[in-house]
Amino acid sequence: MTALLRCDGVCLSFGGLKAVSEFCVTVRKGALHALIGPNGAGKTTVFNLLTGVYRPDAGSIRLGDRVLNGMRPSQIAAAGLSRTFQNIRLFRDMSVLDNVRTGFHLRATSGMTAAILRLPRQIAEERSFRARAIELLEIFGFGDRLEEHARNLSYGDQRRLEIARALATSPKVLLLDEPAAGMNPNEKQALRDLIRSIRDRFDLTIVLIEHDMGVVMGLCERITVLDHGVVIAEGTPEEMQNDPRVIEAYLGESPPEGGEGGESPPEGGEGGESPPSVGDGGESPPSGGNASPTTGGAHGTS
Amino acid sequence: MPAAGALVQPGFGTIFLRSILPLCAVLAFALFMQGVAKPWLAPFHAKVVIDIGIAIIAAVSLNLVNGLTGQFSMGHAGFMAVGGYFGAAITYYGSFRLFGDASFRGGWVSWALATEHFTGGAIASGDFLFLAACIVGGLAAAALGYVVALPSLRLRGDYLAIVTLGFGEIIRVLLTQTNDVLATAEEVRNTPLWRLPLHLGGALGFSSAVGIPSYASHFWVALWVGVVILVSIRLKRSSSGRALLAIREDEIAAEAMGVNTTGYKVRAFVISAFFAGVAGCLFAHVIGTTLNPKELGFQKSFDIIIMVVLGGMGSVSGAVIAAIILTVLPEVLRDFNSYRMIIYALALILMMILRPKGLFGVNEVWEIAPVRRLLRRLGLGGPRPPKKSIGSGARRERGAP
Repeated sequence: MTALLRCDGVCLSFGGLKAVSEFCVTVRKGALHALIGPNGAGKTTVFNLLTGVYRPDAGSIRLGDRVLNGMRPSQIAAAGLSRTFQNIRLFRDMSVLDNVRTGFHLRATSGMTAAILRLPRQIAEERSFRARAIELLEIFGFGDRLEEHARNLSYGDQRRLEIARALATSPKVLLLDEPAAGMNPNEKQALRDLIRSIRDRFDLTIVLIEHDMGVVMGLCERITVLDHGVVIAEGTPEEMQNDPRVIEAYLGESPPEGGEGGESPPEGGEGGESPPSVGDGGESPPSGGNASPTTGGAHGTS
Repeated sequence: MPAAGALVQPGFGTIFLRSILPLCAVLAFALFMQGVAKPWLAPFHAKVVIDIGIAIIAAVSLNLVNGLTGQFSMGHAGFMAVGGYFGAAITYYGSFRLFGDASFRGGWVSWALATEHFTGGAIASGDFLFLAACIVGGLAAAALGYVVALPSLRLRGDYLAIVTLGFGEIIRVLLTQTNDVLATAEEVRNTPLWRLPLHLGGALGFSSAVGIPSYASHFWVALWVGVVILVSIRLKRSSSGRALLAIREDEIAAEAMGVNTTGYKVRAFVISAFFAGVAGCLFAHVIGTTLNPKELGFQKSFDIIIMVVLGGMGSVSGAVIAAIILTVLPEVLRDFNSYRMIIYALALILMMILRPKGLFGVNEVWEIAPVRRLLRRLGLGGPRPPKKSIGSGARRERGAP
């Protein structure tokens, strides 16, 4: 398997604060890769670095053979990296159809002059975008709501529309920032199926940030754990569940020497307020069909 | 990606219907205004119609930036001033250079005066000079728009508003510093070409014994109204137009979807400035106008902004309707002279309370629900939108035949 997305020693600081330091990750083509970590670990900052919202102070980001750092976000999108946002950023006053059609904008060869003169090629292109957008929206089940304004959709639908919009740019790599946030267990299950199916259907590589361990463990093949801007562990879901460094990052206390997992780390420390409990994720079987009440509950108590 | 979206060259019928026919319609509209509407209207009403037309060009062009792209520009009158002075200088001094004096030499198309007759046939040499003046005036404004846009479109919201406001004031002050207008053919001939733009009348305005030849007829105004509306609607309904709307909705998301936000903002600004320049050029050539720097100051910019806001940010037809209302209203209220501005202000306040998003929001007049229903009943509307909620949708279904 070849590496598609590759970060080497990426650093970013805001003033004196090192938000991300020496970030290295390699994502294989076709992978479902998760980026997890406690709140404020720098996960979204990493996404912002990948998509060009921030420019790294050092290090390199490559997509295939292309170096991405220094490019504008729009150029990075054109290179094949698309994303969704943690706080939904749909074009709220535009229709569902127009939201997705905006994604096709990248593939347009006729610009403003062609639009003003309405050249034959531009007419053909508009028709093709419309047809493709409708086809894409039908996959996502928006076929009967094309003219609905995005702001009128339910929260879960808005998240899914954002994914559809990102897919319209025909990306090679899709970055999902907390796709399951605010969803109920049924919706989460449907989301897992959706992510898996679009990965196969569109030949994608997906990197996702997620706090819901049910989704992460059940979906992803590889996990990178970030804390205080530093990668502290990387591996398969099973490895991560038992990694003492990961447990420490989430619970704020290192387990007693030699006896990991023997007793549950005491709650109530400063750092241990509301982590998505890795321990709980371990108890419920990772591939266990429905999002188990345990994981849901662990998240809900926060 | 799926094969459903393959590029298919549209047939000739489609190209004619969607690309060529609207252009013919614009020309027909302009000829109608000149040939039928103008002779039928009383001179005072005819003058109001010209004012309306110029207001529409200004409002619809500003709508491209303030409405569609969501960038708050307050210097639109500055671009009008640039286009107006450039155009006026070209027709006035150009007439001296080409024809020997600055009298009106238009054909029927630019026959604006009810009393005086036009010279020659349908189109005369003066018309070409005037058309060139409009285009050059527009291009000058567009070039300046580019210069202003490049640094200032990195700013957002309030900052951009202040920069553009300052730009308009700079233009006004520069214009008041110019020298007197040259009044005789000899003076014009003895002044080198590059020095002519220094003689624009200063604070007193562009005035001379002859005055700017009045080419701004119903034909020209209607033609440019048609063009600016056509350009706006075609832009709005294209990939580029959706990119502009996306910038307005969420700049970060637009950039992440591959829209080069700076590039698109600059382009919208330049197109908008071009039509502002054209509007200014037409304004300069209306009968009895003395082009005055004060007249195209920030007060004028505000008037245009009010039209855009009232019509609904992003709505082309809204801007047109608001421009009509806000030009006619002060004229109608002329009888209540001393209360005029109070009524005007009250009307605006009421409007903003009742419809805070403007007349139509971002939609066009034919896209709002009651009009859609009417169009469908007349058999003109497109396919019925899929029903949304159970209540209202079902009722509407039963109502339609």
